Amino acid sequence: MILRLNQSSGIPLYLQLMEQVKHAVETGALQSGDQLPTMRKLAEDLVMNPNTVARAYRELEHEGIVELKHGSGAFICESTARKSKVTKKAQAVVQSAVERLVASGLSGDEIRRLVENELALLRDEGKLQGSGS
Amino acid sequence: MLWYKAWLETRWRMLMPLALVLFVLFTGHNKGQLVQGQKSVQNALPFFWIVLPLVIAGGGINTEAPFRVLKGLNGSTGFTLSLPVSRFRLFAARVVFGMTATAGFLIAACCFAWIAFPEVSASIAWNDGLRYAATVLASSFAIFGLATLFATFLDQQLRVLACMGSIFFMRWLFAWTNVPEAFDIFRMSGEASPLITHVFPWASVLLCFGFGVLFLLGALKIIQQKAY
Amino acid sequence: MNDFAIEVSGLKKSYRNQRALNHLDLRVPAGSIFGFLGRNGAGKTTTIKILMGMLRADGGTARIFGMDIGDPRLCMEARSRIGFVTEDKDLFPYMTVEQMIRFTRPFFPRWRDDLESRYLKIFDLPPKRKISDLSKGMRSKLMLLIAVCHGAELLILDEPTDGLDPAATEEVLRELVAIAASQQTTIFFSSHQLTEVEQIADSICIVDKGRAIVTGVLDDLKARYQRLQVVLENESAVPARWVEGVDHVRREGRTLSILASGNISAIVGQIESLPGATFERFPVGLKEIFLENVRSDENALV
Repeated sequence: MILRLNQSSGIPLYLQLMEQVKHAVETGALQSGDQLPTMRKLAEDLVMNPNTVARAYRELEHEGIVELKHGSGAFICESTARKSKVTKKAQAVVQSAVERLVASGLSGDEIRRLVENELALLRDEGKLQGSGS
Repeated sequence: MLWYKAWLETRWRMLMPLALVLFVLFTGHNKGQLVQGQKSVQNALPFFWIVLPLVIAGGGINTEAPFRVLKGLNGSTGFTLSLPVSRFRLFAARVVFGMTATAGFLIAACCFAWIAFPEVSASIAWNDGLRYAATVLASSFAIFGLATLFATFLDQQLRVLACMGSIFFMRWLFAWTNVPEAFDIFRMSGEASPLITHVFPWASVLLCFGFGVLFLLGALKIIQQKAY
Repeated sequence: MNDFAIEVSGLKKSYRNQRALNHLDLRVPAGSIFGFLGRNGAGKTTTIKILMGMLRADGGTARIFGMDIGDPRLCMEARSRIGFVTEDKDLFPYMTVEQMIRFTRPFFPRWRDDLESRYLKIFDLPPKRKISDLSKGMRSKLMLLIAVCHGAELLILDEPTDGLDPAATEEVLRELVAIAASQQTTIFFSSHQLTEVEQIADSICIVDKGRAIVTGVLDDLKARYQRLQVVLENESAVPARWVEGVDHVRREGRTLSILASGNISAIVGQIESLPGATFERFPVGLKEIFLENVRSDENALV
């Protein structure tokens, strides 16, 4: 699993890490039962704070994406496989919406900003599940 | 202690005053004249027993100046102070070493003068010579203490001036207050020198020693106040 | 066992009528990697010198491992458990790398020989070279080696990557992270390199003019801070007062750039109440948080 984090982006590193793990699951790079690197090893490899890695792993466990087995490490949950079906449907929704917006003349950046604004608003109103940005 | 290893490194600062001393002695040397030779030696030695402890106290303390904590971290200051060693131990090591070095040089210089000026040494009884060495050591200890005290808050140039100034002031004070002859430490190197009186000036020596200890305690107090 | 490796409260220090520290408060959680940021002259090195026991504060308290370092004996005990890298990276210039290590070792009974050989290799330090012949970066690495090898529970580092090229910097950061992960060592470091701090620190403190002005867990700070770019319909629509949470506002014509440190929904509400105003939100990086808090800006209207 190749991870790339952007320290200066302003998005908290633990969130970025979580996003990348989730993305890996969605694309099938990580499958149920796969083991993630140990927190310590990941921190050393990425040269990032071990507590941050720990927080990301904990949040992923909280969201049901990984399971932390004491002593043996973090494993991708079974249920995530099922979740990816939901993701595939969601992907279709997004695809058609974006195509329609592009057709009405909006640029890629404009579309992205609209979506981000909407998500941020929902997050502030507490209507967004999890800690996505 | 491994401290001494560090100090070995500062020995160049010590060799210089020795060279200076030898130079002074040579210029004072006058083979033919016995009395004059004696006088010149007596004039020369006091000169360097003032300068030497100053330089050693200054040199030793200046290269590594934990006393000057506020004025930048030159040399190894930061590192040395970060070690789990008490300030007193650091101070004591420096004082012991500095004084030992000073004493060593003075004794070496005295021996050298003894050997180099046979006509002078012939006229001096060896126990007088020893007494003389002792008085020189006592007064240089006092000056060492004074220099150390000033080193806690003065830079090198000011420090030398301050020491000189203090010595002159004290000399004047002693004369002005008519200190009894036995306690007049300034006579110790001049008229009351054991080379002349053949007597050990106990009072003056002890007084010098006392001053030295006082100054060192003062220096220690100041250091402990500035840092932990 | 204390929750905080370092606890500083109301620390004051003046040099000849200049206030270096003006009531500084600081709490460094045990086991964290803590970034200490500030402009030159803000008081970082003074704070570190006080923690080292090199300076005596004029007021306030400082505790390390729960011990009050105002007591010389406790301070000395603390020093046996702390590894320091000072700002000037000063060691004994006339000694070689090897001699330096041999000189230091006896002071610390828990010296780690295994780490010593490891770091000599990783940091590529030539044992027989005189310290005066080492570059500043290599002296930094040597000081770090010494600090780590004596088994310190807390590392206090003043600009540890100063003088290091990017590759060497990454090496040092990786070792710091490895030390934090394996030995549960608390790492307190000051740095001007914000990207480094963002990379490895979990908590930070920004100090300016002798005071702590921003403190907290870095990820939380980044989540709290946002930049809102507002375009007004006309210039006169600028509100006279902003709600709580607006830190700085910069204005250029009809565009406002607002840095908010919290209470975002209320601010958004206020913006939306302005006729014809549109806005966008951007996440805020550490550099922005730092600059906005330490710079005085003539255009700022709050």
